[in-house]
Amino acid sequence: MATNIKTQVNYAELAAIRERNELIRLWVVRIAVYILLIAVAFLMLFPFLYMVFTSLKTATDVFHSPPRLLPYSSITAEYEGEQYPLYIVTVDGQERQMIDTGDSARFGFFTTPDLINVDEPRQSQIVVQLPLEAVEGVAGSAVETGQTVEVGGEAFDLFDVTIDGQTQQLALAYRGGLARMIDPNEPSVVTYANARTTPQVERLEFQWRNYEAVINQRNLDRSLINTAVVTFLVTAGQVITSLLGGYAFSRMRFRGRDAVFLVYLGTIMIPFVVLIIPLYQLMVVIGWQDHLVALILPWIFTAYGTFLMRQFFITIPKELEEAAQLDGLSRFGILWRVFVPLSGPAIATQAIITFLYAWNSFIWPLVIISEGNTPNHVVTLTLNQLRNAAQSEPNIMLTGAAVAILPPLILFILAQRYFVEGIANTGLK
Amino acid sequence: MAATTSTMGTPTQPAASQQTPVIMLIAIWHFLIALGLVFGAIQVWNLPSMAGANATIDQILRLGDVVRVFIIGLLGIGIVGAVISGVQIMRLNNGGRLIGLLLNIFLFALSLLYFGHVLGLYIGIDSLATGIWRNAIWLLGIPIGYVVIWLGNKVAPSEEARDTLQKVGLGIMGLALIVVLWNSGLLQSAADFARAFFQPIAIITFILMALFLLVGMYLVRSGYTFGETIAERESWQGWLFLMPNFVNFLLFFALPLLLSFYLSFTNYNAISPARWIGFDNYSRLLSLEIKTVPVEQSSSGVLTFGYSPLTEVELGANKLIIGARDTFFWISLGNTFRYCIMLLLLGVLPALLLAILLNSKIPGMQLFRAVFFLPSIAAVVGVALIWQWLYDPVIGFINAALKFFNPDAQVNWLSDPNVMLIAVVVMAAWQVIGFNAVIFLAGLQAVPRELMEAGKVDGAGPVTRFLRITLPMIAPTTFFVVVTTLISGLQAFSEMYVLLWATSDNARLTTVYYLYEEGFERFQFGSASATAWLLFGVIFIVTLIQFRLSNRSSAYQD
Repeated sequence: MATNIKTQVNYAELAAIRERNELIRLWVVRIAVYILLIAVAFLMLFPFLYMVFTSLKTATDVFHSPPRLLPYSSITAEYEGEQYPLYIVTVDGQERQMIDTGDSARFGFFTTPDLINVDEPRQSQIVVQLPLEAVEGVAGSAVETGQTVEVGGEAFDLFDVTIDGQTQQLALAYRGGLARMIDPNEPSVVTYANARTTPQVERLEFQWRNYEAVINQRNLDRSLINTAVVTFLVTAGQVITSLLGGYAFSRMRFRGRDAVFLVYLGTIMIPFVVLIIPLYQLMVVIGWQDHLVALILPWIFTAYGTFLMRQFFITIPKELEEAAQLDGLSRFGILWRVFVPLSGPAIATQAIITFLYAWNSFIWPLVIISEGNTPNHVVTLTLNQLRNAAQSEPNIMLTGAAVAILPPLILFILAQRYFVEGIANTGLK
Repeated sequence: MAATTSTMGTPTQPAASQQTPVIMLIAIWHFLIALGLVFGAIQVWNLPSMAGANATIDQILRLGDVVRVFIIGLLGIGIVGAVISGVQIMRLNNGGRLIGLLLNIFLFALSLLYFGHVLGLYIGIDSLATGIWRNAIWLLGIPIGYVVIWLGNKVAPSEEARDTLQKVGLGIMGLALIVVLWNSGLLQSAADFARAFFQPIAIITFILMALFLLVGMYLVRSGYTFGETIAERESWQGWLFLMPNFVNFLLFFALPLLLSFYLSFTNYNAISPARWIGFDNYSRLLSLEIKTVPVEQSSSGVLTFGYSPLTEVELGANKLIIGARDTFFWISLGNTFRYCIMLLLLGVLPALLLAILLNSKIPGMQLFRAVFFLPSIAAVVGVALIWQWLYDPVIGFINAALKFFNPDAQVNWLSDPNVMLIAVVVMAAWQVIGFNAVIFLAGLQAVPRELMEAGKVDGAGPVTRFLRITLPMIAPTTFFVVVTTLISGLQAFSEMYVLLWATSDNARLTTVYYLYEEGFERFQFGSASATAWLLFGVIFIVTLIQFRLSNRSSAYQD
């Protein structure tokens, strides 16, 4: 009896433990999956974040090393009617915000001979830095002794250095200019510091003006409009020809249909690079080279789009069509009134794929629109020029990239479903 | 299309055939077409005598006699078609009517295209874009209208309010467009078109166009006279539907394709007339020479004249010297293959792992899927600009991250020939992973649950289930992903062109890059065309293998 009860209790406990373990296991797995997904998402998004934040930086902030993501700009203070950048300097143990007025003085950097780094004197550990000429506001003095000390085969000048009334013989490791810093609120406080290594007073600030500058001054406004016109016409044209062609292939029987369809299928495999040279020749013959129409008319035909539309149309039940025919609708009426309203998702998918293709296309515009013909440039060409012209201005370059990438991004956010599902379906067929 | 809509509803009955004067006229019209085409063919034949008359003629002459003969051949097809249809229409044969109908509509489409060209309609797109650019501020009406419609769908209190808002939104959009187009000098361009219309060539084209349309329409409506059956009617209707598609296919796909094939057998260089040189382009590109010499011997002078050393391999006491007549082509081919292999490793396997993670049915999956997909919608040029700065040796984040692990790390990603290809591959993989993951995910979701549960019941662990059930089930998807990635990798160009602009090292050359330089920097169009066809050959073989393998693997699904 007793053992029986015991085993029963054990079973219940076991089940509870197993259930709990299962739950823990599930959550551990879930959390691990989330961590992995978030890590990958970060990697995927980082270049975009970098683009956006860099596009909002100032021309000097972009070259900050080590790199940082967020845009900072230096804060200036007014002194005698002019604006100067503020630095953080410690004077007599007190941290102050001081400005560099543009004056500088030559300084000597002194140390004991054993601390000198012979290969890189500037890397030596410095005991004291003193001006080599008379300047105000610095206590202590250095007087040349005329002697030298030899360290590692090199001669260094020896100086009598006086600090706080005590004189000491030190070697001059190197000379260098230091910026004269003054406190704008207390102009009597003066010190000297290296402006390059002294931290600046900075503030998080977004340079939205970069966008204005890129759009208005780098031809991006022009190329955005051109790209929009080209993309719109190509997308509309492809959808229309694909609808008509897809309907003919899926719903009509005519001599030569299957042969033409096979040829179309074959063309899907042919890469564009095979066409690029003859198409260029053709454009030259017609006289379209360097004109926007060269980016539009040759792209109205799409074997792939026609094929996709046909595949969608054959899934529409035949009865619908027959009913419409009985109602006296013409062929064109059937396509327009029955098929088109039913194929919203298919049309959206095709339009989106075409939009992306037209908006992002690069090699054909590069070939057919010459470099100097900026009024007819599309966005990718402008980016390519920006890449050449703004090599020392990463902020301007990435502002351009952001402007070019933004429209497809907005479209993606608005119509995410069609994108992802449209792409996913292509893989299943 | 107007022609087709008007008649499609009418039923057809067997006709009481009778020749009428109109039919005689139509038949004569077809003979006139044939005569016109003969005249055109003679003109094309005599083209060399008109050299220098205008740029188009010179350009066609430069392409060589083959192109001229080909154009005459095309006209010949038209002549034969016109004559046959003329004769058959006289005999009231419906087949002849069909040919005539299609010929007229086809010629109508061509003359319509040409009429637009003569009027300057196509070139006019440039000034349209300029006009829109000048009035771009009005385009703001479109997003505003969209917001109004969106608000209507979201917050409108009643159905009527929603409809009103929708109409208002559409109205704002339409008005903005009209204002933009109006301000863009639509009137001015209309005046230009009107002026262009009064050139003789425009008037002739217009009259021809109208006649083609009239005769085509008449033939469309004359089914009764010719005793047309329903199947026969569907025949021309199908072709009419296909016409916009087909005209574009012929003009901008089939024609260039043939031209490309022809050019690959010529020495065409855009300046002097193309000369047929047979397989010379191909043999120059593909020629390899392998010589074996003792290791200590100098490599120079070993290869035949015209060959340059490509690479050397040491084999014991001897070394193999491999030389090619066009070393750049072989280097580009090698780079392309290396690039493809790395892209497959970095762009497909991680995508599968990512898809498995996404397939674990956790909340928020769609958000992650969207985020992963994001890189693939951005333009390669824009993306390359971003990565150019990420790869910067001094201020780039990638070296900064490396320094975190190894303070001495300093890689010149985009100028060191040993790593630049890897740098490009990493960027390309970043772009393609999310795209591939979405396709994999769809494949994974199509795996039947019952199969997985059956596996579970049989005691198979998660790993076994994945290897034995999932992987075979998604094999067609895998092939698809591998092949699309491979094909895009084989055509890589923009990535190198934008990212590796600062270097002239051969490591940047892919096959398409080589083709671009050969064609548009050295203007060797013949040899560039041959390169394109060789690349197509590689892609064709890859696709063929995929078809074979995926047909075999899809046996699992049946």
